[in-house]
Amino acid sequence: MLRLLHIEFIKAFNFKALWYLFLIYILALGLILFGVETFINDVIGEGGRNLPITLPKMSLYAFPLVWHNVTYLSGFFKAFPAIMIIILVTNEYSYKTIKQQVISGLSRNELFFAKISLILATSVIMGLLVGLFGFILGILNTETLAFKTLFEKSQFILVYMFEVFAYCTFGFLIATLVKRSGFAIGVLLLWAYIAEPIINYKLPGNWGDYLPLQSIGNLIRIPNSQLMKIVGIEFQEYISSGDLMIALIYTLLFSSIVWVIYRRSDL
Amino acid sequence: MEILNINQLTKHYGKLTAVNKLNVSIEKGSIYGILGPNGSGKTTTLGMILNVIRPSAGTFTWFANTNQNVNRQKIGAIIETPIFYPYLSGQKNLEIFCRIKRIDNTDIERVLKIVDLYDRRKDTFKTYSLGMKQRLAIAGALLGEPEVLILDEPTNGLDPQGIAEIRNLIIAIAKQGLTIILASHLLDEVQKVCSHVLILKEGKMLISGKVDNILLEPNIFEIKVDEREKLHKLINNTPEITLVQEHNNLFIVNYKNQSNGQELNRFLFENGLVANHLQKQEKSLESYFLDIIEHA
Repeated sequence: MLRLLHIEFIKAFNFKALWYLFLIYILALGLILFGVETFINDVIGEGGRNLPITLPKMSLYAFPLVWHNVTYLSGFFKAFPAIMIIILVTNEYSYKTIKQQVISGLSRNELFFAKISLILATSVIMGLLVGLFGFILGILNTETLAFKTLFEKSQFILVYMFEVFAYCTFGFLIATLVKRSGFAIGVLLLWAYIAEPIINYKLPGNWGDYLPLQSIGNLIRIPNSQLMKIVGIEFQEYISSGDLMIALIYTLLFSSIVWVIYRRSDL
Repeated sequence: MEILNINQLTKHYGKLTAVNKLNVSIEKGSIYGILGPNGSGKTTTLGMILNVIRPSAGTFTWFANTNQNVNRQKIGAIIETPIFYPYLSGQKNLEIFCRIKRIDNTDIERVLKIVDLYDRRKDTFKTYSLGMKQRLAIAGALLGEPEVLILDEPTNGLDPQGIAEIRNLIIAIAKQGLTIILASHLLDEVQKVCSHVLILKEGKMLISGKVDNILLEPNIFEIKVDEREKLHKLINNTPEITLVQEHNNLFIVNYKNQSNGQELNRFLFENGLVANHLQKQEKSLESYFLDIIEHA
């Protein structure tokens, strides 16, 4: 597996477009994570001026709540790693290197697991990055730091890694079916931001929760805030095993389809 | 020792049969040419024995061994055009090959020096000329000192100088004892480089054997004599002479190993025949090859 990952790293590290995409991702994520609290507080401050009760200042980023909040917000940027994966997978088709790798001696299984290891590494890197942001924000925003509460809800980082992994296998599937980068990215964005939300809206009850990307997004649900509690809305504050199960089934399904394609197709 | 055995290998693309029940056996140390016009199934055949294309039927066995993963380490191959990551340097591209073949990066220097690309190793692949790209492909195939080298149209698209470079390189590599399988549509290339040849047409094998026997420069003569029957008898009793055609008393024969009309004339005379007409037909090997292809 490490040998396969090394092969993928040689390709990825030297590919400039990927670095630009990664930098944009870090900038966008940093901007949102660091900016959103100020923004919400400004809005609340403005709106709450004439209310009889004083709205509490939001603290999204105090330990241990920070872990839930940063991973939830970062969830909106999952398309970035998925696009990176799509580019790296479709590159193999446009350069015909997928064929060359088999000629050079890679088995069909290795071809598949090389990309799976790449997705795994990407998910871990993205998770660590969000974890780093979360840690910095936590330090900056917690009034009294206690070691006990520091990592209390940090399992959200692990789940975030899984969320990215699951989303990227969906990208992997699209890339394998479509084979061309621009087209594949288009299909991903179209499905993620237009087609699935419409289907979700049309489906009765909570059937929409079983749609692929919705279920992946459900892993980390919208966090509670003091504001919400005042209004009387309670959101799920934990990771449910049911959500995990649905996302896991989708991940296995996507990767199995790709595996079969990799095994069977003429290159 | 048998390196490769192909048994009834077949590939269908819809209604088209690209390769039709092919049987081949390749011995160690030979330079095996697969000769045929474009579209005759050469690349499809190589694709199948390299696991790139799934056969519709039939089997093939490398090194009399069924463990594909072990076998693949002993095979170096290039197919059609050189394929590499354009944004990576020659060196980096070969590092990927090394990881795939589970060998150390130190072998890169050796193969780059063989193909004379060592000085350009740090330049990205897209800056290479076509000849250099093809040489890098050969370097990649040579990594890890494989026992078999598969080359598909290695001189395709190259200028005369590049063609000469690649051919000399192949001959030099062959001298080190590697088994080489070379696909080409160029008769002259197979003739210059190969020891054995298989001629393919529309996915079927027409003929196979030693180049010296099959692609021998024919010596075609036209002969006219009064005593037809006597000539017939003589031809039948002389293995060096084969009758190609008989038309209106004009015999067209292939006199093997003798390009000289004088020799044939003397031979006829010694056997009591006097020719009214004796003429050497100037027929190139190329047209002879085309004849094989046409009349099969």
